[in-house]
Amino acid sequence: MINKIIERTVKWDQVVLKLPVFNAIFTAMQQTLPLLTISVYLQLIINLFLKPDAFFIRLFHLSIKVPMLMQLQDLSLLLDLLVLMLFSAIYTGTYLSSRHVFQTTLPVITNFLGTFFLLLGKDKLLSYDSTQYLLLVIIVTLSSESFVYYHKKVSRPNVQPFAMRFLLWAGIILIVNIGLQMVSPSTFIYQAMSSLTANVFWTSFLGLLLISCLIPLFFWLGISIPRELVTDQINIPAVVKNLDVVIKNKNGSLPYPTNLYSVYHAFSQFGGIGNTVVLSFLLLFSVSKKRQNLGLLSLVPSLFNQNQLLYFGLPIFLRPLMLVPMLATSVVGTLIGYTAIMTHLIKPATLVTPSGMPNLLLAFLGSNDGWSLLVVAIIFGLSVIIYMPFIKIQNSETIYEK
Amino acid sequence: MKNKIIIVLSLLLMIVSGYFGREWVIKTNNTQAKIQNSHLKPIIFIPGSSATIDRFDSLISTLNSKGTKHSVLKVQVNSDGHLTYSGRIRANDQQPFIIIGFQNNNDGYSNIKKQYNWLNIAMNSLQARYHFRNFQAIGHSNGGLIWTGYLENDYSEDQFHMSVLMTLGTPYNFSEASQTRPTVMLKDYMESKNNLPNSLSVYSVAGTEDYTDDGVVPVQSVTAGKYIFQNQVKTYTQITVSGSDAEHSSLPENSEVITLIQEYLLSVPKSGEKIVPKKITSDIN
Repeated sequence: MINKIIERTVKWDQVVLKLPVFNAIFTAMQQTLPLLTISVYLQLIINLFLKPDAFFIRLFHLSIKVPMLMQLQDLSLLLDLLVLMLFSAIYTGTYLSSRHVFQTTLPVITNFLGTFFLLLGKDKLLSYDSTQYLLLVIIVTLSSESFVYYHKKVSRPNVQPFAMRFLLWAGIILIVNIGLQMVSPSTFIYQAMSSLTANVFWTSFLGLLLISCLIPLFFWLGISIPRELVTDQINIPAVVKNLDVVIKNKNGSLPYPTNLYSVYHAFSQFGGIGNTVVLSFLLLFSVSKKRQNLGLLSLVPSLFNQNQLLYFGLPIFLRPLMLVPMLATSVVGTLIGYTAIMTHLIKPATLVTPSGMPNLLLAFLGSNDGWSLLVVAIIFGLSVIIYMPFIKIQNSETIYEK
Repeated sequence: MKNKIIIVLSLLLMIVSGYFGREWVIKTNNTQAKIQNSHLKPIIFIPGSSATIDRFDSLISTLNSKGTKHSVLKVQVNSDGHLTYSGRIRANDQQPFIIIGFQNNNDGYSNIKKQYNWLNIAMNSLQARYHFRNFQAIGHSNGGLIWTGYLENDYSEDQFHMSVLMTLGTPYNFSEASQTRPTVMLKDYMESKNNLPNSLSVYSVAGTEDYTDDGVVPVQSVTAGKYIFQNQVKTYTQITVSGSDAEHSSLPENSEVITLIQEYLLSVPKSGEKIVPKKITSDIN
């Protein structure tokens, strides 16, 4: 049964890898990796050491006033944006080459700038969340495809790559991107999704099981996920109500012992969505040097719940080979966590924990219950077992790089 | 070998984070429990521009002479954000008076912005020291503007619960007598009024000497507060006091104002009982 699932996934993965669109996406992700690494590490340093509420600052009760912190945070945001702009540019070039268009300078520059206009909103904020990879890929693909069509229609022999007719195309694409930025529906969608997470349905077994499938799926698809589901789960009403009870009466019975914070967040997000910290450890033992380096580079960010380097480096985005183990680890973590809480084997996480804390520690620190560590260790071990065959397949693909 | 070292180091990092994280969680949640379960409900005063932390001494001694004696704590916020405390809160006093003043007590919108940010520093420090969540507030003149700026920009209902704000002669439109000409500050306050807590009761007291102003602030500027608070907070009440001691600088000593403070802030109404201010002329919006 398991072998069949793996075989099917591998076949599906191979079909995807052969498609020029996906090839172009994965090439662009690989080539963007160095810049992304700088961006991820800068963000990590800010979150762990420099912000007033940084993890280690809070942990060691430090009071450090970092000069130019605002500028540094702006720089980090800008780097985040630059990563996506570079991704769009490389993807455009690779995609157009696969479509036999070789004068790619203008469309590459256009989509590079188009991504800037699409994502940079008012007050230097990203108008769409920077994790909207699917939206970005769709927009850049449509833009590139329109260039292919336009190129065939208007091109004459010896026409200059920056001729007025091509500049006109570039102008239209940029205007469309600016227009999309202006009608950005993200705030509305975000608010709707955020209020949805407040529903008590997500404290039930079915709700938690559903969320443990949906979140990895959305993440894999490159669809932005509300912050409450990834980092700010302490603000979900069910969690706040539990906290109220704990603060007022330490022995009071909790209204919602199982919720997104105590189950999904505590047991299915080790190192980020899909327990991906396991991947960083497994990659360390990879045969390929490149994979080993990826494991090493992504390890510290993964320990602190940042898995973007794995998302680009493996890649995880739209790669069928990664979807199946991500879903499996997420569901297994949630099922075990839920059962352990409902059978009173462990106490649920209810307490406030410092922001930026490794999720591996959440179940223990949020409940102050040592048995939670045992459950975390079991889920970690099972996640290793689940990811191992898929990583071995990936390694065999890249063995020639050794 | 290299991988083993990396794994051991990662494990060490988790152990250190877990050890210190546990201390942080226990301390933070104990503090939260103290704050949540605290019965302390201070009344916090802010004086107007140019006034010091001693501005309310006369008002406080009058209030203390008329009933329960409240302990007094004074906090001066220096321009570098450093706080100087004087006085103390008595152990069994559940409703102490706290006066917050500023070293830079100058007038002007740019200073008010600085002052409400300093107020935030003082409030955080006071909560960390005395573990209270509920409080009531009084602001004389620009002190009311500082409270309003704080409520709109720094106040968090997760952290505090301010039940009553009483402003005395607060010029919401500065010295502008016409409400058709809103100042930049009034416009800003109106723009951010959505941030005001909806469980708050606001009493805006205006003084009149000659039907137009209290000698310093035009009545229209005080009543312009309705553009900020009305339909935003739980209740907004505009009260006008007149007669002797109704001039701007005497408002904190005005006998009608003292009655209002006693009625609205110091006494605890029985359930279902509605408090009606006595012996005063009032326009209730």
